[in-house]
Amino acid sequence: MRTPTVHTQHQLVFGFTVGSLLILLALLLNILGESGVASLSTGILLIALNVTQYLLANSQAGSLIPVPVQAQGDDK
Amino acid sequence: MTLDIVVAFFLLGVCARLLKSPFSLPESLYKSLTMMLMLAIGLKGGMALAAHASSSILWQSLVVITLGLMLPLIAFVLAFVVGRLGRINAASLAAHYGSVSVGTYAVAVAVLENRQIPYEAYFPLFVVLLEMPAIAVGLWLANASGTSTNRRQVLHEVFFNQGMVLMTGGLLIGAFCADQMTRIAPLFIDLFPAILALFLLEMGMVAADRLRKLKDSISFLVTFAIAMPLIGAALGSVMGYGLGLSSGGVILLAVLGASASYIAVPAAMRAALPQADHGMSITASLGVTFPFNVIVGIPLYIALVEAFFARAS
Repeated sequence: MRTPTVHTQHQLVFGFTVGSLLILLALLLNILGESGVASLSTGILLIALNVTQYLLANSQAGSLIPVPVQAQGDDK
Repeated sequence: MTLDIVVAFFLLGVCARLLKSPFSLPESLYKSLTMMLMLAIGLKGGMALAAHASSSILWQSLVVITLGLMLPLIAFVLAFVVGRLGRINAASLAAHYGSVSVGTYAVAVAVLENRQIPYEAYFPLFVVLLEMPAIAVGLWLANASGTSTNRRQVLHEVFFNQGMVLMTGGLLIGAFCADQMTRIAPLFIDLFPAILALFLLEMGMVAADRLRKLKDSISFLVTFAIAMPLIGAALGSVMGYGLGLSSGGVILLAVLGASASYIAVPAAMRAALPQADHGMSITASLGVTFPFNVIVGIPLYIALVEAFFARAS
């Protein structure tokens, strides 16, 4: 059976922050006269990816309220 | 914005793999290219070290080592707390992101030389110095949970891995035999951009392959693999500016802070932490961070640092 995708609110905020930072840098670069197209598109893609996975993960869990998740690692 | 010719080879490799073109470089050629790149970087640094040796380099080296100690700690906190990866996997990933990528450094040098931006030529010394601390911090973080590791094997990997031996050896040969360098310059200096282009062609194909393997953890790992270069570049450029480096030097320290290892650290981690998910770490560093730095990061750091220097002067 496929393991449900995990994406917490913290990870969503993290993705949003990094994506927004890239978009901000792209805007700044345009002000400075350089092209920031690559930075802008990476930022937008990053936000879209995070939002999509968050919605997917929580629709799989049956609720948009995130479920506490255990560490996926090795030190249980 | 002009596309750098060596970066164009990387994109060719990515496209070739995405189009399922059935060609690949022979494994032995890829290994030879990697070795030649490391030796060439070491030799160039050694020649520069012989010409510019001073006590300030010692002070700068200490600051660079501090950068190498700080980056894996930041990476560990992000991977462990936000990514919930588990201590061993987070420590292994942190070691990758605290260390440096010789390939990324080589691309940055090629771009700086193409744009005629001067930089401190002894930077290969910092590349060598930044290889080690992250591995030590990564193992310390993993060991905090009481995991046993084969210390002898780990120490051997830390100090005698391919990158360390070839770059340190190149540095020493370049420093002590600088006057004879013209004899080997046609291969190691003149052909450097062509060797790098072939290396990046192969890296493009490998990166495209790796990206397909991210699967379920894709959004956190991709975010992490883009966030860490931005954090590392910010930290590196602040330290570079504080050290009084030239704009090219600040850019190179930003690139070193932004890059993640995919050659030396995976080998060391495989020996030290066999239970960690090595595929995840190398996929993030090679499948996301390396292409991000080559395509987006390096032009971004150059633009920001140059704009900052232009306003400061």
